[in-house]
Amino acid sequence: MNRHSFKTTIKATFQALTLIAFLTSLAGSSLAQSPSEPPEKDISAESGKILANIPIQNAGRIKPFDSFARFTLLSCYHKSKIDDLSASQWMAQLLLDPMAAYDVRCFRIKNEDLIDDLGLKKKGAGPYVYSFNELRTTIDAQRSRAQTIQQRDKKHRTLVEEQLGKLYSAVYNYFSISRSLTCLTPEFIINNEQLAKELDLPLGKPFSFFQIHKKWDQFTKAVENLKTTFDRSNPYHLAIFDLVSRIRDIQQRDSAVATFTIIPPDTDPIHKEWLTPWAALDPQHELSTKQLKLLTELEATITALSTREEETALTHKETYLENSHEETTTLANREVFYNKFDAFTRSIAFYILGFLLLALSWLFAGKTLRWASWGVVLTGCLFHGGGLLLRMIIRGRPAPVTTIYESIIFVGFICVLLGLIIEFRRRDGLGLLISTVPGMILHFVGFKYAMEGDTMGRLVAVLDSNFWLSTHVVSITIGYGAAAVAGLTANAYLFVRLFKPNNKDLIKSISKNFIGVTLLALLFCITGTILGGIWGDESWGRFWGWDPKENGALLLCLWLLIVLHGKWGKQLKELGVATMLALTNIAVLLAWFGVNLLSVGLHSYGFTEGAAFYLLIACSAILVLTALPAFIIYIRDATQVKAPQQP
Amino acid sequence: MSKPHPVLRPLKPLASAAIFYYATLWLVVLVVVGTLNQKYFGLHYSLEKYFSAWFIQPMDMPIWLPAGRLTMTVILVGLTSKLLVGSKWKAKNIGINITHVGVFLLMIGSVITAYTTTEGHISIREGAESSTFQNSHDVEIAVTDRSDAEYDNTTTFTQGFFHSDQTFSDDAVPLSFKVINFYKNCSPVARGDSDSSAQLKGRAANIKLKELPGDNKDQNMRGVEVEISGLSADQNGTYVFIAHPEWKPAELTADNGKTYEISLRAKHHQLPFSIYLKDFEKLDHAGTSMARAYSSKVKVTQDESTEDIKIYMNHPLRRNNYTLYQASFSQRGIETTVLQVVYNRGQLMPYISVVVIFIGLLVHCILQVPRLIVAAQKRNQPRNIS
Repeated sequence: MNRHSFKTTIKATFQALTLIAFLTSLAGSSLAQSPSEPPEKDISAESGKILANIPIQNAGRIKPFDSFARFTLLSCYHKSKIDDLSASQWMAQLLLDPMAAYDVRCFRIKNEDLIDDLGLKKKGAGPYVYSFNELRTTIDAQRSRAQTIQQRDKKHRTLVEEQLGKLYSAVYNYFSISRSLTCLTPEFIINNEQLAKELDLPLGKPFSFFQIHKKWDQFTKAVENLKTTFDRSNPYHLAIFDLVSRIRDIQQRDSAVATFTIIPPDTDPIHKEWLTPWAALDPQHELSTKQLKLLTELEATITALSTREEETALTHKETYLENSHEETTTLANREVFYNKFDAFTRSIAFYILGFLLLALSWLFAGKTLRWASWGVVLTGCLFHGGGLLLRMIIRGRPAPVTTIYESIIFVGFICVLLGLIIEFRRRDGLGLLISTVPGMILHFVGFKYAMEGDTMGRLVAVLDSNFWLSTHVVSITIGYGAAAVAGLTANAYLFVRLFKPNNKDLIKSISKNFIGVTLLALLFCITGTILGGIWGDESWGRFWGWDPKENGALLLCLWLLIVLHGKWGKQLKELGVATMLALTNIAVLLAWFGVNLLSVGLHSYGFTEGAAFYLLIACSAILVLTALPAFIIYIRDATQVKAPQQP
Repeated sequence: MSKPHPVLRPLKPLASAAIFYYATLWLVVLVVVGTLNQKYFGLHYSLEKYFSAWFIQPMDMPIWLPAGRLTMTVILVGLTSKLLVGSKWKAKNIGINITHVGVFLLMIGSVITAYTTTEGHISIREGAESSTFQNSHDVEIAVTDRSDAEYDNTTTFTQGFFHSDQTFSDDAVPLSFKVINFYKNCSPVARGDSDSSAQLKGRAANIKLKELPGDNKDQNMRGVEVEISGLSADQNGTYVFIAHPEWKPAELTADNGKTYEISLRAKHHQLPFSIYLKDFEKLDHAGTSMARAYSSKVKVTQDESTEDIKIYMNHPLRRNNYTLYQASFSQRGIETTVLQVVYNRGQLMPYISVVVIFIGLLVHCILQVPRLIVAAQKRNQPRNIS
């Protein structure tokens, strides 16, 4: 059948379906209320694993099913797994057996005021987690309120309103996803032998909309025949009517909300738009042979999963991937590996272990323990670097830093690396302390950022330059890392001088170390800042515009210069140098995060809610940890100098 | 090092690190305050107040403190002196000296930029051509004579003339102007009966301008109250103008009977070449409305030669010290591209200086860092800070 006549037939069939529905409603038939229920399902526990590496397009990029599942779960549960249920398995159930999934508690509401506002029941002492079935009526009643909130500027929303808006979006998104594959899942059943035979479909065995779509000619013919001869007492007629009602219900409801774009275009799958299976089966869409093959294999995979035939499902999925685009399959496979590898969870575990070993080495003066700690931290650092490398491969970029999340992970890496080098030279544990502390803290901050969703999101056009990302951005982030290490070393100096004022050699060695690291920091900060200016000159027309991000970077450069020139010009003594340098971390934090909070200028990306509070806490902590020991040392030294003059 | 030349000897005190130390500390204060100010008064206003100015009056008190330009001049003078008389050209200082040369070049570049740069933008619709661009900050009073059927004759008086009580005119038009007030940001408000006067003409009869601080989104509206003479007798008087597309020009008749259109508008500049927009294209990330790339395909005509060029993100068009960047666009109706235009003769300096500074700091790090990252204690002694 050619395309034109196919489209015309579909259209005519739906007109016929509507006509029958209309006729029956006129006749007051009770049949309309009782189309046969969807068949019960029992999906395989391996579904998530099997579907994990299927590529889909979402939020402007190609990602595997597994990542999509994780980010969706993060948006409603704020964690990437529910106890022992992996995100992929949770998503597989949502897609293949939504009715059962609707009872899974996966919406976590942290704010009790929102729970009270919505009039939801609180069970136990929290955390309060609800299933879709428990929320759907309540959230539906909030539709117009949520929409009004979303139209309002963020500044004019209360906390409860803000969170209601987010919850509404999460619930709606969840529902949309759940209806996305209903054209491929076995939703229909025919119990009438004549009809089954006529449509060449299995009797008493569930099948999908896609199966009927393939038999559209026979199906249309059967419906057409019924138009004039409909008899309510005829079981064959009733079977057709039942099928028509269910198809119409599901098709009308689900094709409009489906959001799961899994069917790629025939060419350029990276840049062209993908389709949901419902959109692919839409009469308006011209289904290509490749897409038809993909739908066939996807359906076969799903059907096998729905009947727990894992081997068959796996075979069909492999055929699906073979028929899909190689480049997107490779991308998806790499990202699944990255997700499984979970490099940063491993690296933080090694850093924590390294820190504990270091503490033990100090308690028991153990050289072996210290070297063991060094080895453990080095292993963590290798995982850390491996994770960054994997991200570069997946994103196809020669730069490890493209977003604020990656800058956090990368600065952590630089701190650990520099700490390890310092330790290799010093051999007293100080380098390990400087490695592990920022390594752990920045990992935790990174995890917090990762909770917001996709960390590999697309870049805005102006940032999309591999050359500048790999020169300016890398240089400036190495500068941040080195400056942080210099600051921490200076902090360590203050405490060592406070508690061990007589160990002059030790004190002198630390002061040499922080000056060395400061020189490195200066090299990268200044080069990075000027390169940033040149990037600005290349992309938006001026080398330097005094915008907050530029001023932040300048502030850090100037601060490091003041410390060094203060030392060389003898305006600062060793204590002054250490104190000023220890405060450098405030300049680092302000340059890195603070300026984003001002939301001014061309650089204002990466803003996060609540960051201002944590920033204030961190800056205050640095101030106290610097000012307190510095002040005590200063007073002590002053009194010691004066002491001989007293009678 | 040999002793400095006697002529240069007085520079010796200026080469001290102390001058740099205190000047830079003050610059840090300016950077912090100037940056915070941007949140409330916009980038351009803060830039002019804190960084481009020589002096600053905190909270309008009668105290003049050094602003960015003076502070940086002090640093530059100190650095120049250091290079001329204070630098020790020994092997161990080689890195520092190279770095100082690099910073010197960078600062000289910024001086050239500060005094030669012109920033503006040019909007071109698809299928249209243009060779003039509009200044982003400066305005001018434009007097247009439309009496010639062939072309309009426009005479302009730029912002530099807008000093209070200075009368200015041009032989091309029989009018003279005296700016009473010039506002960098203002809004029109109704004039009460109490301050109305026969001297106030046109819209000035009912409207006056209220001065505003810088807008935090840089949407500043410039305005003037200007006294115009040389008009037919009853029209001589004070007029108000705002540089805004919706503020229509005033049509006034001069003594000689000719009609002129007078307006305040963004300062216009002529490019030495013209740009014809063939096509504007915006590509999105698939399945989203987030832009992946913008580009303008243009034909550039200069004298007799033409050239086809694509201007897109990070790939500007550079010609005759002018640089044109893809800045914005409009897709309502006929697609229109907006190109940022910058004229800057100091553009090359950062490129040279970054290389010099990088080499200088790298050399210094190679020479110094291995000597500074030292062991906690001498070898063969117990090593533990605990």
